[in-house]
Amino acid sequence: MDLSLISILFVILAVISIFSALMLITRKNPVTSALYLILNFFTVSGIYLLLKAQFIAIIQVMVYMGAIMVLFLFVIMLLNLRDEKNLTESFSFKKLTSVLLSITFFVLIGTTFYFGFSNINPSRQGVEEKTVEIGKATFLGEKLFTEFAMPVLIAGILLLVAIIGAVVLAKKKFDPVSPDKE
Amino acid sequence: MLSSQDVKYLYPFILLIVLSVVTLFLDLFTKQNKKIVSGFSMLTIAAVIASLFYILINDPEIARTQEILHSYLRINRYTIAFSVLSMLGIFITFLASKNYLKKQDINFGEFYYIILFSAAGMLTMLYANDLLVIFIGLELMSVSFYILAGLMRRRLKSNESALKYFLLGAFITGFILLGISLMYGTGLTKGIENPLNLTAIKSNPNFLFNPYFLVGFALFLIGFFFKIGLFPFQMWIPDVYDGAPTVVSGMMSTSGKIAAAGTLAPIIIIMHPSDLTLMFSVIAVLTMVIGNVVALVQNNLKRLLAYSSIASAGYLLVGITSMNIHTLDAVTFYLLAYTFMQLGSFLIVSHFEGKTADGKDFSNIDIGYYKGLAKRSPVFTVIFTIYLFSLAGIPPLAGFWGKYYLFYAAIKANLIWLSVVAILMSVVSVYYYLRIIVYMWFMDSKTEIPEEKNYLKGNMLFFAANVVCVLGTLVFGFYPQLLFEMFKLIQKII
Repeated sequence: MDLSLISILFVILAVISIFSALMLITRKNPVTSALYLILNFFTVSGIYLLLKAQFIAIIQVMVYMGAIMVLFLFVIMLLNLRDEKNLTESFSFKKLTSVLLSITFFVLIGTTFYFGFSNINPSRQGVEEKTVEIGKATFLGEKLFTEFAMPVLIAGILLLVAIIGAVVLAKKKFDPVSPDKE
Repeated sequence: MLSSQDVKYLYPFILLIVLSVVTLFLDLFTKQNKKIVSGFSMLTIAAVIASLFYILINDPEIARTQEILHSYLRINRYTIAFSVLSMLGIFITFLASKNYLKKQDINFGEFYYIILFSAAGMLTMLYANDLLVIFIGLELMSVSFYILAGLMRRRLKSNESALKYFLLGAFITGFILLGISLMYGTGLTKGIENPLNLTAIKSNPNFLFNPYFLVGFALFLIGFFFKIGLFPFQMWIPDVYDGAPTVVSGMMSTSGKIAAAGTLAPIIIIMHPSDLTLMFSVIAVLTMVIGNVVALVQNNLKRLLAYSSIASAGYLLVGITSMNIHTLDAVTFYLLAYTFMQLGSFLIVSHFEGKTADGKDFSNIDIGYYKGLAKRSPVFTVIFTIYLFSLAGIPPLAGFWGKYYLFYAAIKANLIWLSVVAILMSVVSVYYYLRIIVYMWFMDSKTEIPEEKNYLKGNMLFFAANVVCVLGTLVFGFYPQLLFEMFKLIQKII
């Protein structure tokens, strides 16, 4: 195993990101969880940087940590959340089964990957050239608005539907047309 | 770039997207009168169907698969057939839903254009030749469905249905994305230019033996099995269909399922994962058993139809498992018959459905209400009986031929045990369909419910929707070859 700076940094970032992900789902206080989520996003954007995808790393910091997480924190503080129960209090056979099933699932995927490693020797040559390209904003913009124009348009409609949906489901006064008016 | 060659295949898309945005604005400017919005959205769907048929008739080149827009999309006769079927489901829903929306106080213009946007998602999925485009289309469709399921904002059941659907659907989205990224990574390390492209995957049949790709494909399948409602991922269907507005449940269980199955079936044919035949068969058997056996004890008609739609997904998987030249034809025919009979049944339930005095729950959806329906409302009883016979698979109705073609494809693929189980399970299903028929014709209601007079008055469009469904069930039952001739498909069994 080579001990270049990149692999050392990767190990550090990966360990922090897994640690923060675990803390995120085990904390009782939702605000603490949200703060750990921010840490997690931060380390992930570091990993993007290591992969030479500067643009995506910056987007990750700006959109997720800047915009979405602030909203998250606001909502958590506005909502009056009650204290979580202990894990042992809410224990049930159903939960045990689901935990066992998900462990089995992860072991299955893990073993597939483990044995997959022994068979495959991925050549990173072509991949690295491509990732350097993808990291540039000009490359992304050019691709998105020429080759990927159609998926981008559909994604725009998806956002439109999401906005309409938020209004439909959450607006306070939203009564249908009364029959006599029609 | 966009060539004129490409544009002529894209007319249905352009029409649908432009006109649905126009519908949105139309709703903004006609605040009081929803008739214009509903009429315009029906016109939109009709125009899309017409343009699909225009391509089919005037373009002989689509006999072979044509790739358009840098091969992000593709078009062939099956694409058109599936698109027409899902648009047909939406058209019938629009025809029939006006009175229901008024009755349940949800006569919003949003109902119409959110369904139109979900139709755009369905077209995207069905046209897609690229896993990324499939994903975006699937999301557009699903997000629209989450909103539609929760359209009755004052009802606890509807809220529960929308929230459940949204949380589970968002979770499953993670599975699909992880699967797609694994497939992408595998392809890229193998030096393939665009590894998400189905054409690229088709030209590398060794892909399936790569463990990373296999895990990715399995996660992708999990996502689609959830959307179609196959065995381990079926538990959301009864709750969601029960709580959603009934016309929306009918639309989701037909058009939504057509889009998901019509996307998945060609992918499975392209990848041809013959090693997975046993897995598919086991899932199909379990789905049919769960759907049919649980449906036996249901008293709520919406839940009963939901379980019957799970069972139908099982029959569909029997056909898909066969993976031979008959598969796509059989799936197309079954979905056609399924649109008419399943959507029709949901429409009938929506016609009799009411609301409780406080307006917080549905009423009259229990099977007890249907006792002696033949005396009260003979016309709709006859219509409902036709749908139920077709669902049970009684010849000469379309539902019989749907099952016949599916099981025929399975037998041709040497899956005889699977077809035997499927036939046995469809015999089980006869019990709960006939039970409704017996309740309607041979039992008397204890409570007095007034007779329905003048069922045509103010109900013309609803009646027209039912006429379309009944005619579809009968015509394709007596002359099943019509579908294959219409879309110039290859099926020549008889």
